[in-house]
Amino acid sequence: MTTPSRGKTFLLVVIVVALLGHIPLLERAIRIAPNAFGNDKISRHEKRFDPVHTEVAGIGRVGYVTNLPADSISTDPIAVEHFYIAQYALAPTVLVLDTDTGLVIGDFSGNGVPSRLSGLKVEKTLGDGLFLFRGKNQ
Amino acid sequence: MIGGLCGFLISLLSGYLVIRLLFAVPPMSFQAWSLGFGFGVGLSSVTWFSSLVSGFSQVHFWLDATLLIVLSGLFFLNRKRLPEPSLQASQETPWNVLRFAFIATVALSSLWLVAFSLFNPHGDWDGWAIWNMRARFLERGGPVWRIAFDESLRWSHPDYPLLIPGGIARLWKYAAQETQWGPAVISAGFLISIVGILYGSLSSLRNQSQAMIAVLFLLGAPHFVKAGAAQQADIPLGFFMLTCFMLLALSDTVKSQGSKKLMFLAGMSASLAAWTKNEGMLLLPAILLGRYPFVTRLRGWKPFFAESAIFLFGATPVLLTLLFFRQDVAPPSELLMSEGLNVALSNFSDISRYGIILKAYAKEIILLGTPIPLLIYGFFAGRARDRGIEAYSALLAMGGIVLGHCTVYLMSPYDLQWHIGTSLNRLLLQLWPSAVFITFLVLHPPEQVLLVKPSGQASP
Repeated sequence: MTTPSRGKTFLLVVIVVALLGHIPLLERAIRIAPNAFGNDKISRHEKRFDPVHTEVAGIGRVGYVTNLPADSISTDPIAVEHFYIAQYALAPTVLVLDTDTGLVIGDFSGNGVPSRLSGLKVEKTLGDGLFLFRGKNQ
Repeated sequence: MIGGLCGFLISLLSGYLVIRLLFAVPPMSFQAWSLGFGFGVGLSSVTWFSSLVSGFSQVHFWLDATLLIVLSGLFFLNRKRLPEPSLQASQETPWNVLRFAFIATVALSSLWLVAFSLFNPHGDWDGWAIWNMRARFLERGGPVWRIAFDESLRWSHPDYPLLIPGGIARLWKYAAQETQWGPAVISAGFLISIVGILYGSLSSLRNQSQAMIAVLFLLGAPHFVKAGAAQQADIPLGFFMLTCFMLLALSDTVKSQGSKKLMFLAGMSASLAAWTKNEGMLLLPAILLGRYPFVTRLRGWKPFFAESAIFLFGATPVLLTLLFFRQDVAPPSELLMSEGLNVALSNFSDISRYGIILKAYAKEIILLGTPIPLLIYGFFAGRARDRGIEAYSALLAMGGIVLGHCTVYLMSPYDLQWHIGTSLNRLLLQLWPSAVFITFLVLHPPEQVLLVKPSGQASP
């Protein structure tokens, strides 16, 4: 059994503990605030794909290539994120890490096309590192 | 935009009417609207999915409108026979300092919720890469919506059920555009509703001070508030778990004819948990197992079978929808199809995995923020001796759910550290509202503990 004053002190400790939990939230808010209002990472990356929408409209699946070979994408966190954002942006077209689909989207960090993709023919340069390829045998 | 608002209001009103028809909750209370919001989103996603698979998604509005008219008619016809609130919030006035802290915490949490939703409109990783993306496939896909469950999308968990993507796609259909406030409102709405239900139910079952302290602990966990704006399914799943436990606790407390309706609603809530995320499927068996020893011992076998039948009856419509989704639409679950039984059994007998899991639980519980302070508070507040089935059956059911999670980790075919690292914090977030609710059901109200004079007389 506690006295009223000890009880109130205990209650104050509870309140302080609960309010302390909001400090990490303030830190997070300060960290992400500069990227607010459409300037966040997903919105920025998604905007890059605006010109691709019309090119893939009505197509069930298209290929996706990037600077890394397909089997290395899953082990590179940034490449994985870019692939997922591309898929998020272009749904309901399904992106596959393959070049046998006829139409292939190239998503590169530079402006050049890696030499290993010589089997693909550039159909359109969409800017900001994005290309549209068609397989040479298509 | 107006269309989206219309879709939101239709689901909110439908959910509210379902609650008012079955639950003796004060009509204009925050608790009634909170429950209405959750049940509205859940049930409207079921009707939307039904219209999608039957090829009537273009006339979904008429299905929604018909449902709302039927519910309104039932409400109007039964308005004199609606259940009267059998439990009222206690009239004791909480201490000023507690009221101030409660208001400050709720205001701060609301501020973060709005700020994070504006700063991060697509939500966190799982929000956009799983739930919002599936909603885009369903809404944009038109007649080829089933491509959302294509084998190439396995990385996005196409086996997950559709309460969240369905609810979002439905709002977008009403709005005729992919407005970003749709997923943000659903996500934040579930968090706000959890607060409403926790506060409302503990105010009725215990008292307002108990309810306020519970909300302080709930919102004191920073990851919990952050998750409210992350547009993931863990907060909605936490909502349906809490609602299920709360309805069962009320059903045990009122012990009247109305308790059957509460049991029915609890079953519906458990099934909506399963319709939210795969982990939600543990809730239904855990509830039955948790209640079995207490109800059979204190009331007998017959009442146990009777209440279980009502509970399962409430769950049936949504479970049938889920069964159809599993059989006809979704690919098999990754966990079930990988590697096979032999690997699972050999993992189960690997003692080192038990240690890794225990350590991870301890670490994540500490990182969550307020669980350890809550345990310390519980130690000082003490367990009230007059608690019954409502508290202990819930405690046992929670234990069953945690055991289920641990079993999945033990048998997991994935790298254990990776599996735990990418999921355990979210499993704890799902359980957190229910854990706070059950803890405060068991504990003494603060007035009885903190302000008792040495003579044993409670201070005024």
